[in-house]
Amino acid sequence: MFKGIEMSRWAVFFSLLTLSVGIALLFAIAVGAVQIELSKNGQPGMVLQRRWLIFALVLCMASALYALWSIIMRQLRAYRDSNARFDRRAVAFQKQTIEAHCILCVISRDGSIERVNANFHDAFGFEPGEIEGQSWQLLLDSQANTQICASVERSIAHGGAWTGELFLARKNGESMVANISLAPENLSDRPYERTLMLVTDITRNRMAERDHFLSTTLEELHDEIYVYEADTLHIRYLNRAARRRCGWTPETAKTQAISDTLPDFNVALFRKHTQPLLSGKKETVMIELTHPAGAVEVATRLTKGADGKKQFVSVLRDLAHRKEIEDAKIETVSMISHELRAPLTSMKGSLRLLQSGQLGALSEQAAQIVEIANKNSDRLLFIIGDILDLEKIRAGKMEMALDEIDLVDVAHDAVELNGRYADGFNVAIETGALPQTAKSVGDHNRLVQVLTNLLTNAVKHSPESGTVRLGLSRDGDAWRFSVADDGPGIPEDKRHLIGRPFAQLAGADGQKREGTGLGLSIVKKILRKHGAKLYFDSKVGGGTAFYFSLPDRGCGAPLGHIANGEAHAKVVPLEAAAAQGRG
Amino acid sequence: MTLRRILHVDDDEDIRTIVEIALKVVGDFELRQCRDGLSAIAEAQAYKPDLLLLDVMMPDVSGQEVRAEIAKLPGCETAETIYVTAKAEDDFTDKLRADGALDVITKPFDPMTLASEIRDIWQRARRGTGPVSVPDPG
Repeated sequence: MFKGIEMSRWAVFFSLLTLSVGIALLFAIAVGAVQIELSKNGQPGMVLQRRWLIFALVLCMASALYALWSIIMRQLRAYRDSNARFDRRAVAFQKQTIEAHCILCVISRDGSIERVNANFHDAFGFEPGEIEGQSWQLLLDSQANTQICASVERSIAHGGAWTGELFLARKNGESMVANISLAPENLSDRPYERTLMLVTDITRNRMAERDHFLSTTLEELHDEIYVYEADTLHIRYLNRAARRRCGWTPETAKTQAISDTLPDFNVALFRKHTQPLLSGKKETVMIELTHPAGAVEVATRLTKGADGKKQFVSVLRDLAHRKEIEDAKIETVSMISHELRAPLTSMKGSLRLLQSGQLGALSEQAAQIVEIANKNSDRLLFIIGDILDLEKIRAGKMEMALDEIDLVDVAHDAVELNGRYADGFNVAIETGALPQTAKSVGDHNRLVQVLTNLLTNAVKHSPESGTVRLGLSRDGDAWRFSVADDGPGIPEDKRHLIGRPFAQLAGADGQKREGTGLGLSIVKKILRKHGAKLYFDSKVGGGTAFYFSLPDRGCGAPLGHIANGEAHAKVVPLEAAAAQGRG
Repeated sequence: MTLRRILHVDDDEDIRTIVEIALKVVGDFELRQCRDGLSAIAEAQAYKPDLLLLDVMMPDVSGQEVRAEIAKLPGCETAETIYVTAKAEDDFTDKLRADGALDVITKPFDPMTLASEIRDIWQRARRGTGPVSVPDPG
């Protein structure tokens, strides 16, 4: 530490020498081992007083100690100055490095941004002076974890160090996954004022990790994934299953458009289907397609790519396997239905023969009991029939013959079929004035089934000796059926349940009627296949009326091709229809 | 051709009893019944029925097979068939009709109207297309 300082070395040497001699003499005198006498001519002379000698020695030692202390202090000052110079250079170098290589944001303890560097402007897209003075929280992305944000906030306010990952947002709204370090500027002579926020943009790393994870996962899926641009339809990504169907490599797939995936791809129809996605009316569009390799179901969603461009993601699922399962299910339900029908045939047959009196007259009580048994076996039959129908509709097995039909015939057949049932409840079915003819397109038998369900429902809810009114009238370019009863009406709080399977409701009078609760569900589904909607209007204590309209063939109203999913008419929620007061 | 003799085949004894009452007591038909397909083929040889009233799903041979075998028997070539089945799916009953059956009655049926229903089907077939020919199953 003293090297290079010559004067100090000699001074230290003499100081230490003097100090040593002084200490030795002082010790000798103190113990009385040395008597010093001075004479000019050999005669005993004046003896030097011991106390003067001690005084001289003490003075000498004090001088030496002072010299030594001065030297040490001077060296210490020099050392401190040297360190300070080094520190200043290091800090300057650090600052220069941070400015050059880091995204820096200086935040004052109140949370406002004091200064940002050029890298910050480049990374976040702000112009110089645009973000300064604003709260640092403007940089937070909506995905940012609130607990982490609170922790950062505390560190900024109290000058604590913090390191971690945080979702930030660029000026254009894009998310940035950032690795952040907070380094509070602690100056020894001043209180805490600001912190340095050093940001590392790790978005690409994270995206690369995510992309890797997603692509490896997507590649292994059995379902086919198609990602393509919403405007140009150019393919961005196909997973392995999709590429296998198309016979493309990953490289060739990226040179194709989604319209190249099918030989007769109808771009106009595709645009029509996907329009609700672009307009935000729907989140997902489902389409069933007849692909050369078999029936497939396509679910399409609109997303935003990494470049911010809109892209469609279609998931294509082979329906062959699902059809097999559905077929097996139908087969099972059909078998159960058959097995139940056989014993029911015997039960119902026996009861009917007993009731007829062919086998002898029954007592009044016996006839009553037989009637109860008969009614309940009818109920069982309805349940079996309804479950079978629902399952068939659900599996797409209920074929609809979309022929030109006369709805007047449908009305007549429905009334004829249900007359006896209504008689059992002492209720009359009236048709009022029907038109001469009402041409439409649909399945005669299924529409009779719809009216049967509505009529039996109305009969069940009608009062004794009541009347159910079946109407058929013009409704613009369509024909409108109506089935109205004078029953207790549907309570307000139960209306939303109408049409749900097994939603067997009590009327406003609190009485439950026999039935499965499946009838209206079947009605809705059959009407949906016809592109029609079911509405109702009900007043508590004032009866209920159901309506549906079918296109008038004479007006040329088209009915889409159901199998290709072109007529996926929405079934308007009944409660919404009720709210509209339709009827 | 008048409908007189009916051969009913069903493996369910209870249903056979009900059909017997429905056709003999209520309908006044001449009726014989069998519990399975093989005994029905043997019975038909001697009975020479005008109409076969056949269950479809039976343990040994199906109703369609019974019909095909009986149609090969001498004197039974013109015997008509009405199936009585619990398998009520449209496509299935349509197939049975397309294969030459006069009609299909689905279970459960009303025993009080079974006889009249069979007569209606028979007469409708006579009126509509004249004598109904039973195609050679072979």
